[in-house]
Amino acid sequence: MDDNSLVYIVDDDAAVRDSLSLLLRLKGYANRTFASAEEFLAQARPDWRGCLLLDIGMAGMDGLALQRELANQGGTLPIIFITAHGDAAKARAALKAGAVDFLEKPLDNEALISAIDEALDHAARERQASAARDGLAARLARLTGRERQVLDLVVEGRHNREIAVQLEISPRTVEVYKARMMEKMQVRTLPDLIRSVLSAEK
Amino acid sequence: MNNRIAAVAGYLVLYVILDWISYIHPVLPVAITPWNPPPGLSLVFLLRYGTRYWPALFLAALLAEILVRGIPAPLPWLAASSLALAGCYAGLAALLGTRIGARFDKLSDLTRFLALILPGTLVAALAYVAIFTFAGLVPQHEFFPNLLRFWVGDAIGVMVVTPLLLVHGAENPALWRSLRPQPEMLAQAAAVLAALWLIFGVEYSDEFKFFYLLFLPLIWIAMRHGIRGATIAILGIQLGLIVALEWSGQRSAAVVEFQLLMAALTVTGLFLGMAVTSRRALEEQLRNRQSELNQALRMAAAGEMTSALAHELNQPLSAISSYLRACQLMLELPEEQHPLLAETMDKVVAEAARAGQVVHRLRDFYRSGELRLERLAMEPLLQGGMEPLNKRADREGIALSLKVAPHLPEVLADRMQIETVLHNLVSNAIDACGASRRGEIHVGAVAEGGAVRVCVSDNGAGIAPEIAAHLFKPFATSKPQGMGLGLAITRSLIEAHGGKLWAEAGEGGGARFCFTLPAEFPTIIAHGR
Repeated sequence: MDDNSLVYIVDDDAAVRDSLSLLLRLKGYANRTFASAEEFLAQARPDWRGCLLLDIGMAGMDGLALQRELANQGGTLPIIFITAHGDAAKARAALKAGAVDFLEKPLDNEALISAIDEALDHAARERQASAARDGLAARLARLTGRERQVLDLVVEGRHNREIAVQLEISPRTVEVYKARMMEKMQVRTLPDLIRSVLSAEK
Repeated sequence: MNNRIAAVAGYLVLYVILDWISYIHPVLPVAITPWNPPPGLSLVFLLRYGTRYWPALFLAALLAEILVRGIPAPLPWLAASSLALAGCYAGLAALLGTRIGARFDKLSDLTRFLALILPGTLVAALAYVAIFTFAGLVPQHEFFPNLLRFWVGDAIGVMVVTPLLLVHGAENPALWRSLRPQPEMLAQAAAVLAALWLIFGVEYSDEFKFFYLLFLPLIWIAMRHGIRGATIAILGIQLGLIVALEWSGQRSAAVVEFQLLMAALTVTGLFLGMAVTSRRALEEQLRNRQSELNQALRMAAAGEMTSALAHELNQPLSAISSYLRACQLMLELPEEQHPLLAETMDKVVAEAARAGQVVHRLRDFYRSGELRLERLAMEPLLQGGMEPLNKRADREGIALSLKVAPHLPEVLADRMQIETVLHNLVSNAIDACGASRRGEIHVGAVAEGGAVRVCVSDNGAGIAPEIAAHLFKPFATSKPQGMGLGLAITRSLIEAHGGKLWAEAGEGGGARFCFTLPAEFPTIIAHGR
């Protein structure tokens, strides 16, 4: 778990909030609590990492509405819903809208912990992928026009000679561009290059 | 099998007895009588046991000729006439069997029955009279009068006997129980006798003039007891009429004319009785459906209640479970963490108490158990009860206002219960206003004698008179989804406080619900020097 990952608990029941916070703290999960969806929205920042433990039925803005609002703002926090009484329709709606899990009160603490772990894992993977995307974009930005053309053709699987014909330059010059491009992209071999470009495209 | 033999034997005996009883004013030497019930019995017998028993009809007719009339004509002619009758009635029974319901409880059954038996008995009469006329046993020139006499006799016999036996079939013992004698039935029987006496007993009167009087007791009976009462009354009137005719020594021709009138009376009574019966059955069906519906709604409301209760209980239970899990983890920590442990366990106790409160609150809501009385100021109390409904009133465009008279005394009351009362009354008022027009709800509190009176007035549709009578009874509701408990609970809560709750018509057609609470006058405290 990243150091700056938190479990954000949003529940309008003070005792539920307090007990969850205490339990998770003892289990080693740093957390913050919010008494309503509105309170969370007012304080939330886009760089928050971790996961959201969200009560579905709250006075005022309910859990599903908060989920929608966060999605509209492009939020990436994975959401675990908790509910005081099973409502199949709401559960379906929540999961369809991308919730990680749906737990019923009284909470099974083991199920809760594994759901949180899964959500945090999910968030970490998500973050790595996004970091990879960001890194690639930065490296691509450093390429010149010719180097970029050579990269695109290499990834398409063309040989140096074909590239030379297409770009109307000598194969020797292609070699030079390719070497410079590989250096800027920080890869040694062609398979490495292709892997890094493809993984970021996911 | 023995049952069948007993049934056939019983039928034969009954047939002969009926024939013997009704053997009056015959056209000698054969049995052309003004009323002839045996064919009615034959039809019921065949309907019950099947038309393949038709030979029993032949046997019965022949036996009656031999036993009742002592072989009035040569045997071959008697056999031929008996065979003809058996064939005609077997055919009629076959037609009836496929066209009327076994329970004979619908108007359509009765209509089809009459439509079939009138031509059916005519065919039988034709066959019977033709055979004896052909044999030369009755004069040829009297063919048509005899035909009419036989037809009317058989038709009235069938109309009186067959519906009676079908309606009071042995498979319906419940019907008999419901016909236990009541004073009203004695009065009805007396009315029939009185009518007969007026017709035949009063001198200087032409018997036919007062025949219509018999309609009155028959209509009375049919209206009260339906087809079951009507069929019995018709039999009674018919027997009374026959006895009266015999006793007053009427001419044969007059007897036949009376039977024509009797046929009209019978048809009237049967139709009226059947109409009453089928209408009652329909009403009962509607009532049953209504009560099933109410039951379903009540179950739905109970389900809603259960789900709300589950929600309320799950919150503290969830907290307790998490706290205790946390306590377990703390026990594994070094000793210095233990103060936190004690604190957490206090929280567990508090949550357990909260779960208990949910259950108590529910119980208090249904039966106003012990009151937790406090001295309360009216204004905040009323505001507290109305507050949860402000949003709903807003949404439905209803103006909700509160006016508390100045210097009102405090009341000694259970806050939660009075808030419940106000919540129920205001919520009802919102329902009454509906969304159709600009609703206004006013809550006002004034001092009145030694009490405070609170009134919730609305400008809605008002209280329908049919509801007003049982407004406060449990399960009386005008709302499609209502359980009808609100006002009943509300009243019991107010009465537990020593107050009263009543409804009255408000200004402008709406309703006004008012309750009183005994005032608690402040003890006058002498302020300091």
